[in-house]
Amino acid sequence: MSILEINNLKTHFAQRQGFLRKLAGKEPDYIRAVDGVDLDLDEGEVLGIVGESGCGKSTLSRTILKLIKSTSGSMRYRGTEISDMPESDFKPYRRKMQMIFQDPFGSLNPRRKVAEILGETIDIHELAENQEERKQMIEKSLSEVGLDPPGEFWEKYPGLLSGGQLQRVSMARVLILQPDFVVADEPVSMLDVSVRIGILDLLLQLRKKYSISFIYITHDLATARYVCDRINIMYLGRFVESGTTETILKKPAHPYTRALISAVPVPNPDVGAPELPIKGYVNPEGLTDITGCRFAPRCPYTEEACKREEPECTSIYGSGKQEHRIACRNLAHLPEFVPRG
Amino acid sequence: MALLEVKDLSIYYQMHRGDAKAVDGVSFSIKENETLGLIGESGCGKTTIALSLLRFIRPPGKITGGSIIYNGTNILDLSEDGMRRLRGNEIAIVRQEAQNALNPVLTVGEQIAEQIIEHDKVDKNTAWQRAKDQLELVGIGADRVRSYPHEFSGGMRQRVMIAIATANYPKLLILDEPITGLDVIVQRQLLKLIADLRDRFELTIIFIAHDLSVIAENCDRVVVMYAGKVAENSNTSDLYHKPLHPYSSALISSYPSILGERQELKSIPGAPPSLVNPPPGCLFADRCEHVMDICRQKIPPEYDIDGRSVACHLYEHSKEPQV
Repeated sequence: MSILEINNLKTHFAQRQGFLRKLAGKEPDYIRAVDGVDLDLDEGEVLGIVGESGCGKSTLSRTILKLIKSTSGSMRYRGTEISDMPESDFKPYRRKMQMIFQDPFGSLNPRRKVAEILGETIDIHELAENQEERKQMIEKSLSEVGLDPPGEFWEKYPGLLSGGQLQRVSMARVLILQPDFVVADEPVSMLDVSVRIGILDLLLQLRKKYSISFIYITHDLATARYVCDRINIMYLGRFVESGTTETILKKPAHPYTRALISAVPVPNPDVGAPELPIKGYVNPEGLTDITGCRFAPRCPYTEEACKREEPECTSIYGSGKQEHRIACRNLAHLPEFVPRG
Repeated sequence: MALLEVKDLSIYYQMHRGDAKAVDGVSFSIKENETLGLIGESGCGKTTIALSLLRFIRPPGKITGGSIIYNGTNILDLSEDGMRRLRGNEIAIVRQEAQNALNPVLTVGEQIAEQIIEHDKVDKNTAWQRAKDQLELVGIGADRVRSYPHEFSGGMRQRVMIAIATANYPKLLILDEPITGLDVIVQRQLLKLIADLRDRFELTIIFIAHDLSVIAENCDRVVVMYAGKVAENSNTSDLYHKPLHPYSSALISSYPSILGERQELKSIPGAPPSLVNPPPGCLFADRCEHVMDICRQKIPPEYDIDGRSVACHLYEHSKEPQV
């Protein structure tokens, strides 16, 4: 069943404009950080959003959680439209949609003990009837995320825990609320490689046990592959390709997806590093004035038509959860994808 | 011949609780034109080693033993003046998170020129010209010489740092996590730049990372560090296909790849031990799948196996890979 359905979601930021421009009554320029995103999240699904910094993936995640107000488009949570819901009505929903941040060292209050951090969440949402229940909830959530025995972590300050343990505390804080879906924004990118898999496994375990859905945001296709059912590749505010994880990795169609795949370092020394097919870098300043394909300036296969009209994200294979969608008008002229290794 | 030879190096951080043995009896060497990877978890001593090669260890850190022989001279015996001549000219470093270390109120040109003048007897005009060449070299372009650091993205600032480090044509370049925290595509572009510079200037490189894939692609040989000691020292290909040390093997099987079939990965349980009062025996024992009684009693010596070395009791009687 669908938990979250997003249609043509847009988040634009007005740029600061000078006094004279304001006086002249000119419209400000808008940075179109999220510019027409469609997304469908099922119960227990892990959906990846992959792209470089500046592509709008963090703005999208914050818009979904209503931490930033959307400009237009619809977001339906279990059928209820939430995009224009006032904050006072939204609070009960807030519990159901939570976030895990990238930086575990910065997202937990260093002056609070682990039990206080978790207790605060319980108090804000008034989840516990009495002290005994509150204590049990904290203990349960700690052992649920693998911080066992809970007593050992109860009295500790975040400064005494490792990055992996801190990220587990973040997970516990989210878990207490029994959310329906969790946005995980680069949850392992700041952790040591040896503990990353532990955190990703925990995520998969929670999804299995409680049917929690995840939106997994990253620039790293290797970890995305490990956890995601489906992957959306995002570039400058839009999805340029969407499909099942294996489709995206084995049969990528969009030139940007292919570039991302060839950029990922591979742990096997026998597989050489390919020449990167694209040049330049993400330029969000180009987001104010868009004609044509957003990727055209960096694309090796750009044709005149690409610069004139923006391509729609259209289905090229399958339907429903198997659907493979891509936004490229030049698809027929792209060379065959050569897998690495 | 080895360009750099580190022998039995120990570096302790003196703290109230006792000495933290950040680096404890580490030996390795690097040949000219070789790229050596230094890999391990946070806190395993990689950065401390990197800093010690330029004698940048500051109290409470202290080099308590061993030697660092560069081109026949023990740099631990050099005077401060001799050390200054070595830094930048012979050995240079791009430090961790260096992209945030640029001075925000000076143009990048001034910062590169400053480095050139500091280590080379040239006038300002020559230095400025060379700063422009350096910017061209790292793919930024000489026309950006008057730009300030805030006008650059993280990847470009890292390029500036590489321009500064290579400004005096060092032989040995130390890169401490040079691509951590950057985007994949920017990472790939930087790795390409590093490879180009290496080929062009015949650089010898020490590449520090916690990321096995980056090491696998770029290094000829790898030193795997664990809790201040060398666990394994091996050429890259053998390390990947036949890891000797259980820790190397655990690192490899915890790393996700985009190639091949999707497979289950294993994280390494537990965490490294305290370096202040480490338990007796092998420091990896508590996390090791192959742990034996002897591991908790005796520190494993280094065994030589086909030109590789491994510090593990599994190899006391056998020369064959055990893990």
